[in-house]
Amino acid sequence: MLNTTLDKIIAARQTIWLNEPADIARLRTKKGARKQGASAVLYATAKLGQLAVFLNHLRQVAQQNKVDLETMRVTTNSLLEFYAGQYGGFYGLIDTAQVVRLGKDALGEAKTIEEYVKVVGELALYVSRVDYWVDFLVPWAKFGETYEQIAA
Amino acid sequence: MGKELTIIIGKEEVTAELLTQAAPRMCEIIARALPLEGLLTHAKLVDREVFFQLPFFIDAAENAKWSEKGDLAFWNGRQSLCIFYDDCVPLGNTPTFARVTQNLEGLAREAAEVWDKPGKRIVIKAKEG
Repeated sequence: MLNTTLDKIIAARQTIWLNEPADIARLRTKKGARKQGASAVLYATAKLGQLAVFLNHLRQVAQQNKVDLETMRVTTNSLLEFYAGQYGGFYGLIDTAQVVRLGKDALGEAKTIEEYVKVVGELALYVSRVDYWVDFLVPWAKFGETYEQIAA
Repeated sequence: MGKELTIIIGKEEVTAELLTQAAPRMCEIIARALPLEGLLTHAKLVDREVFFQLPFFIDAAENAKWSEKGDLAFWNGRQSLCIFYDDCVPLGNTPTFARVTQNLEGLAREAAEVWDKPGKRIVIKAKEG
């Protein structure tokens, strides 16, 4: 059961590894204040990066300490539900939200801390990957030049 | 001399050496995963660093050092293979598993372009022969 859910997360990651996820086209259509898309993209990468960092830390905590599975599961589920709601809401990252919720399902099926580490690790890889794609949307070079001109 | 890697980036072919003495477990994991392929992103805070994500963690943190130009390192926090292509001030010590031995100039030329045009393809494979 756990392996089936994990396989779905791994397959989702492999699909977007070298091919732009469909979520990116959806994110491109989102407009924030004053009908500009920059804040949507910048906030999306921030929120993806946050979850990637949290998942990595939770994975490390579970690997390096004697922790109980239920506490880790409850804590992680709360984060996953929050971020799935964020991604699938305004940002239109509906595939990402679905995979994060698959992670919740997988955590519910985990019976050991080792299985918890496996699930959280796979989710971290996936969320990081989506964040890499969103980062490509930010024109960092021009953004940096413009910022310096305005800040000068 | 440790096992050698070929890095293909843009029009350049670069040689690097795995640091099998200083980072044996990291080198073993990397060597087993070859060839590695990715799309490069430029670092935003470090001036002369590009990186790409690998589809696995390397929990064996060995040879953590202040990165120098030519170093190949791995940041487990975001599963990133980091390449320091010129003089820069890194953010901290990073586990380092390889070092460029030939054509650092070519690597630097191609990597510098990633700031303006992210997503450049990179392949790292075992050196033949």
